[in-house]
Amino acid sequence: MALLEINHVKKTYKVRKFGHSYRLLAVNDVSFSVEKGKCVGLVGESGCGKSTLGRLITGLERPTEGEVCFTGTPIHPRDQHSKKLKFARDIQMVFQDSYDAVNPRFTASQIIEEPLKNLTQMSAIQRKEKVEQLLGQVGIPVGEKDKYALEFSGGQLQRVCIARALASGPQMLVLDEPLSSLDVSVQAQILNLLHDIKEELDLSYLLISHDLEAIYYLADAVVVMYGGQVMEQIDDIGFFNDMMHPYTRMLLSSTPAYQKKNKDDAQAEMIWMDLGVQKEGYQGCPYYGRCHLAVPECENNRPQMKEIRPGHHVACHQIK
Amino acid sequence: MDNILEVHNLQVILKRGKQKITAVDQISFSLKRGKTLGIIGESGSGKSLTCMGMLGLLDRKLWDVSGEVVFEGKPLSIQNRKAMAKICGNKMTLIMQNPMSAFNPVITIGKHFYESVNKPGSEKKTKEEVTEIATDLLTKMRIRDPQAVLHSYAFQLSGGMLQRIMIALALAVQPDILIADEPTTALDLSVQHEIIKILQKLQEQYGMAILIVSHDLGVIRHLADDVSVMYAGNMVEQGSAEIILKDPQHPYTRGLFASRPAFSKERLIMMEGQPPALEERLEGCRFYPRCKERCEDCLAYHPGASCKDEIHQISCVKYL
Amino acid sequence: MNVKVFFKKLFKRKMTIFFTAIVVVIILAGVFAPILAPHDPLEQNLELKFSMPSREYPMGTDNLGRCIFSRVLYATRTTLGFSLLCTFLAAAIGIALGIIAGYKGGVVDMVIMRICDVLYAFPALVLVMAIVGFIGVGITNVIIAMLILQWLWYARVSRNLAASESVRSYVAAARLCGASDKKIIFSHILPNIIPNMLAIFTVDFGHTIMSISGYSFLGLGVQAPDPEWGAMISEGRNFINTDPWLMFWPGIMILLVVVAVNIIGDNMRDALDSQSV
Repeated sequence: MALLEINHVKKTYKVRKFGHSYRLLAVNDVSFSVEKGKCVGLVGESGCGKSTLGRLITGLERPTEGEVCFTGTPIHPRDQHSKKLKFARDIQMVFQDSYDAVNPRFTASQIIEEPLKNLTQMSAIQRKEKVEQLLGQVGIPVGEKDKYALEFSGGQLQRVCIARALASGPQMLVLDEPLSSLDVSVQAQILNLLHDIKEELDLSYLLISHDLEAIYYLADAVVVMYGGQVMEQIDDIGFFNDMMHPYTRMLLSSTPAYQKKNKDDAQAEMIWMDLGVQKEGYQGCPYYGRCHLAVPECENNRPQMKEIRPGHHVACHQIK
Repeated sequence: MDNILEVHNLQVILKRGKQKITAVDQISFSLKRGKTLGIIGESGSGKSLTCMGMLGLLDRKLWDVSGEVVFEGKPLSIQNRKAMAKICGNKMTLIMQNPMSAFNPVITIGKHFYESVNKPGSEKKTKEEVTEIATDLLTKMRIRDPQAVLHSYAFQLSGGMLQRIMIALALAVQPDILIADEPTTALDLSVQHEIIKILQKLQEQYGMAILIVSHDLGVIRHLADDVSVMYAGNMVEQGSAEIILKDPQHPYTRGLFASRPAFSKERLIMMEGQPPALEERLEGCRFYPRCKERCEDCLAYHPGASCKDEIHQISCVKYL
Repeated sequence: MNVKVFFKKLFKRKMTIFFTAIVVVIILAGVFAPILAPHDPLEQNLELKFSMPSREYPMGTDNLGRCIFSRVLYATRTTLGFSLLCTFLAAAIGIALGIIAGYKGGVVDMVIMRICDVLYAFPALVLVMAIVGFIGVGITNVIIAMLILQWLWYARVSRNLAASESVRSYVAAARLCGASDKKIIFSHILPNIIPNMLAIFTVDFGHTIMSISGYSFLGLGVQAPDPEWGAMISEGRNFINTDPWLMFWPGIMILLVVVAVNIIGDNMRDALDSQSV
């Protein structure tokens, strides 16, 4: 059984814009699973629903339909409406902007102590030891534990956030764009740190990112989202170069490092318009408006995920 | 002389009370006619300050700018706001990072075009002429229905759209130099790629020179003919793109290039530490604390261009 | 928002230090009034009425021969004390409701904010006069009446601040760390909006002093013979042509305190603004 299973999850938001309101399908019928000790990379551009999905998995939001199961148990029980999170000890999260993700009035040790206080029964002395051990694990000198959040650099603070996520001894981390606010040279450090921690603690990751290079580096499986839906999914990173959905290809060929390696250039994107693909009621393929392979069928029929070979699913009418 | 713009010993000093902090330290570079110079650097490297400083756009209450800027063989007085303003919107135009904040939300896009074309001092153009220019440029930017766009307001358009419009706006006056400060950072991957391609194409058509500033190696790799690498206010390496991208010499440049995973799963070779904050800069080589090849001479070395040969300058004690 | 940085910025200006010192001195004078005052503020001595300032009576005496200096000192207690109480209660009610509205959102937010909207429609002076007319004059009733409208400002501002704080990811992180709503509000949201609230509190304190004195001047608040700055001005206004110092001293005190408090409040706002850059 997979550690985390996402079954046909849907999330809608009510949007009010310039007077008229409609329902936005931020996440539309998404299913995939994360195995123990593996890293799933979730790729997509802004507004594709990948961050919403991350919040659904941690339990910060409730899905409108479908369910998320952790070790077989739904994390949003129907009968329970309290805001208390059932699996807070087991599923933790690292946020995009570390300065936004910590209380600016807290010191490093206060930040890391918070989950220990609330989620474990440790005594004050045990907590202090644990904080020091965690700081060591993420590579922050113990002497800096009383520095305030804003006195750290972005990379250091992201390490503190990782330490906080590790504090309760989780089995799974949701990493929501953990690199995007960092400098390139610091990104490399965090990537290596995440890699080492995963091996050391046998963690599972859901790495949410728009950065294909980082995804390739860390992930064992990849899910590509567009317009709230999964477009393509591979269970083995070995298929990475064989991904074939037109959107995935376009993403790959837009990445200079990939182009350099594989001599692949982007097909021209022709049409630029907001089709409202995430409005409730839109029936077609969300990528229709930008796709160079589009046929009329795509506009009216949402393509279903199909397995084109074991461990490789694509949702596209043009791929048989 | 094929250099359209030369900058000599540009220095930008931050005045903080009585304290004076050197943010950009004596850097020199030149931009060839019709070519692209890319400046790479991490946060705090002073790359944006360099742009703002040489255009005289920095607030003189906070910043001290000195140095010589030579445009088409004539030295510009960067201290003189009026003189710079004449050059700024006409011969050189600037594209900024955040397209949203660059537009006035209460006037239409069309009006923005009208005002930027009809700057004081330039030839007056009628509304029809401006519309014609704008429509033409927007079509080149692959914007559908440019007429509708000209009548809309900034907040009605998406970020990718606005960034294209901003480039079109910058090109409307047919500048000799386009200065782009992180033009694609706020955008999605696929949009980034398109903007870069558009810039490339327009450069071929109009023959303007581009100075592009970015932290993104991919962007620089794609566009630049010459590359300058900045670190903590110093120019550490400078030369043609071919040389620098293929065979970087400065330890920082090499470290920076190795920091990206580049679609491999091999462990990243990373640089320790992070770029120094303004006030914690060292005397001598500023990269010293993070450098893997440091030696005692480094601390006595004042960074400056030491030539390996004419087309490749490295600021490192090893190449003296 | 870091409180330490905030106060450091605030007291960088000499103006703030100067006016804070004035307010502190006046408050201390009020606190130690029994020791400092040369006379009982209610002690009448009709033979000495309207006497000029002297060593015995530093500010002279009023129409009943009471020592103005002592009365001004004791009035500091009443005026500032009641104003402080009133402002404090308003702030407590407003901030509590505002944070609940901002943090909870949804229906709770809507109900609280609509109540605010409705109450905003009442003119303060008219409402207070009506309520006091209904339940009777006296400082307690004036404060109750004032509170009905005074908490609105706090509620509005703290609601907006709390709403913008609670969408920040550190609140989500706190929830993931197992913090309850109560804990999130008290250890995360409240401390981060305190500096803004302090700035509002200070300015509002100035307003309240004016109001309390104003209502006492009109005879609604503190009743004679208890000393209160507004009431003292009211008593002195009959003698403005012959003995203006009866009004002058309490007047100058109100002016001094209100100006000082407003300037401190303004500087607080500046300190907040420069921090958010």
